[in-house]
Amino acid sequence: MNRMNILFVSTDEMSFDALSCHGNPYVSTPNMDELLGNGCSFENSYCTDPVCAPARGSWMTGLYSSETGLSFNDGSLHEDIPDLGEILSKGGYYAAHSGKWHVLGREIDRGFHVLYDGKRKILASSAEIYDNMITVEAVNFLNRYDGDRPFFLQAHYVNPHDVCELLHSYEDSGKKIADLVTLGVIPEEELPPLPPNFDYDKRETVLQIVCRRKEGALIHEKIRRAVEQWTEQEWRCYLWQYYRYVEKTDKELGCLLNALKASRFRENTVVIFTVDHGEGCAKHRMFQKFTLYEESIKVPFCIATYGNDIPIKKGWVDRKHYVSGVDIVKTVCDIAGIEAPEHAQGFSAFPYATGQEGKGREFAYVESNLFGRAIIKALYKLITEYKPNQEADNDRINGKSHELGRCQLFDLEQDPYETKNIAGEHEKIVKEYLGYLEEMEQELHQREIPNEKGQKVLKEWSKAIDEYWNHLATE
Amino acid sequence: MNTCLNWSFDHNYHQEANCDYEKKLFEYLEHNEQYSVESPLLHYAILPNFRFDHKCPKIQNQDEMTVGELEIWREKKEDFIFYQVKYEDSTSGSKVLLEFKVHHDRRRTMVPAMKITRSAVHEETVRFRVENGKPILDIGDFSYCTDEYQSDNQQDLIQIYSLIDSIGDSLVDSSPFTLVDKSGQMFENCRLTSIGRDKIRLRGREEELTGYCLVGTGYPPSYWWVDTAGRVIIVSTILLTYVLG
Repeated sequence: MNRMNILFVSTDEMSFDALSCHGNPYVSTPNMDELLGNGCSFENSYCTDPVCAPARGSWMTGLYSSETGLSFNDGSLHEDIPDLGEILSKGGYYAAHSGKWHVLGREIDRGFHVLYDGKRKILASSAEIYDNMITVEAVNFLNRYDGDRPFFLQAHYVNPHDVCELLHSYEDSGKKIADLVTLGVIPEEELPPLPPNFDYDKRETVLQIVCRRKEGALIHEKIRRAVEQWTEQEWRCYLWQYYRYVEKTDKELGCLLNALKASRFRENTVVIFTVDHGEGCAKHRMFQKFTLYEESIKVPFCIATYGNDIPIKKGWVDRKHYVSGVDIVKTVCDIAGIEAPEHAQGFSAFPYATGQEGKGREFAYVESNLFGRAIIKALYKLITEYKPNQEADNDRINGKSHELGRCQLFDLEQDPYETKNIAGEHEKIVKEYLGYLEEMEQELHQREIPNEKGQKVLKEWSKAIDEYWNHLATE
Repeated sequence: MNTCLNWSFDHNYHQEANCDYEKKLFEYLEHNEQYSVESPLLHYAILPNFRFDHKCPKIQNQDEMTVGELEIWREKKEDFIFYQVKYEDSTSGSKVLLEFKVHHDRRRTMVPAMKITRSAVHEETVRFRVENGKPILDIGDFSYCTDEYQSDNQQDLIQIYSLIDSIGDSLVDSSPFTLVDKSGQMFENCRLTSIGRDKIRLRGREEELTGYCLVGTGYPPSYWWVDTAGRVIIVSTILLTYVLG
């Protein structure tokens, strides 16, 4: 067989359970459902870090965010780390890009042929303006490409990220979210119900409290203040609107995938689909991402094909293996028959999709907000944090140099909505999971945040978190 | 300046330092008298609603606030109304010219064919048509169905830009329709709801506006405001405001 073409499609800010095929009756995603049905879909799929730039940095480098310099949206990718476009180009592929990039510190065209990234360049958002053009230029590529080399085409959509713009519109404006039921736009029965974990266990990490909960929160404080005023019905209106953005993306994605099906590349193209991170969706009374709860870190991931030549198991749901956004590089290289860079973390998920056994991992590891960590391994999930260390180098945050803060432990089988922190009752399990964290850290090559702006934010955050710990100590 | 803007198009709080959304909005509204429901051309300026630290579209000053324009030409010929629509915005870089026709009925139901000439990176002509209820795009000799899950639901097909002419109480609470946008994508189960009236001060006097909300499957709310002369003068989506003028 000729070397396979690869289409890597992604959406932005879309939780695992925001798809109809994952059991959500409040949204209609037939195109994504069909895609998953044409391949192997992974149920234990996690992003590396639940925010755009860090997660996308991992896709493009095969490294965790504490290794790339992109530990948060203000970081910057280290100059010497090659991106997937460069890796593929060296390996004989034609690497093309359409859509959102958001790998800060790296120009797209260093590794990719840029098909489309906006006239005013796409940064984080504005799907309404850009998403259709992302489709148009990706379809154009499928229609026109006649090169000798196999292609890797990535089409990174922005929606349903526009829900963030909806949320931003309530900052400082004194406006409340439109109550579409009271306005008569939709009947009350059309609103999704509040999630079962709208009320949550308040025994959270200090990091979560300082970043997201308390007055003066480090992340999106103005939105926090606005949503604090919302009624339950208004939260449900936010959910209803979020699902419309999901559906809008589904249409764009369907348009591109249907063009692939109609093209001469149908048989010999592998489609990889995933999402950079999830969305709070009122779970744990949260909006957006930046948390280590499932709604924020668990994302769809599938490897599919519309043809019959590539032996991918169609309609297969893999509930056994843990996959991560960090696996994109090794998976793509495996499909392309290219050796992945030695430094790349993760594993190729392609063998699982074709019914083979792969190397795999025993647990998933996620970083968040510089100091946050999660380990997911059946049947439990540990969320923990490191305390900032004003004496040490906060660039490299790990158990060797930093003291552990609070722990949250959830029994994902008995309590899939993470409503009860059982860390206090299961010290042995907590210890076991901290052991996995230590094991993981031995594999990491953490690096400093290379840019001044990132360093400044790191210092500010460290100080604010430290102050809260001091405040707790004096209580 | 004017009194408070209606919540659905009040984007005053989301400005860059040197920009004044309300001032720009009224610059257009104050000078839109030449456009009537009968005139062959309607011209809309496109303003960004701005969104905080998401820096696109990054607009630095008042002069850059018009990020695009929409021109809608229509002409009645026998039982049809022919539309020519030009859309362009400087953020996506997209330029689109649409040609389609609608029936001269209350809802302006669309004849299911449209010529789309578009460019951002490549200029191309695309033909939109509907086959068994499903949208098909023909790009030269490459044809594909853009949405295989579009049901053959027999809903009226309405082109988004002809809605400018048909919007009004008669569309409210009527049967759902399928909207066709400028890319040829179809959105089922669309419905229009009246969201009440509001007043703005224009040319020294109070003008009453009637508001409508448009939603559908895959179609987040957009808000349409019609003046007493029956003209749609403001349409507000999540990111953009279209203002007649």
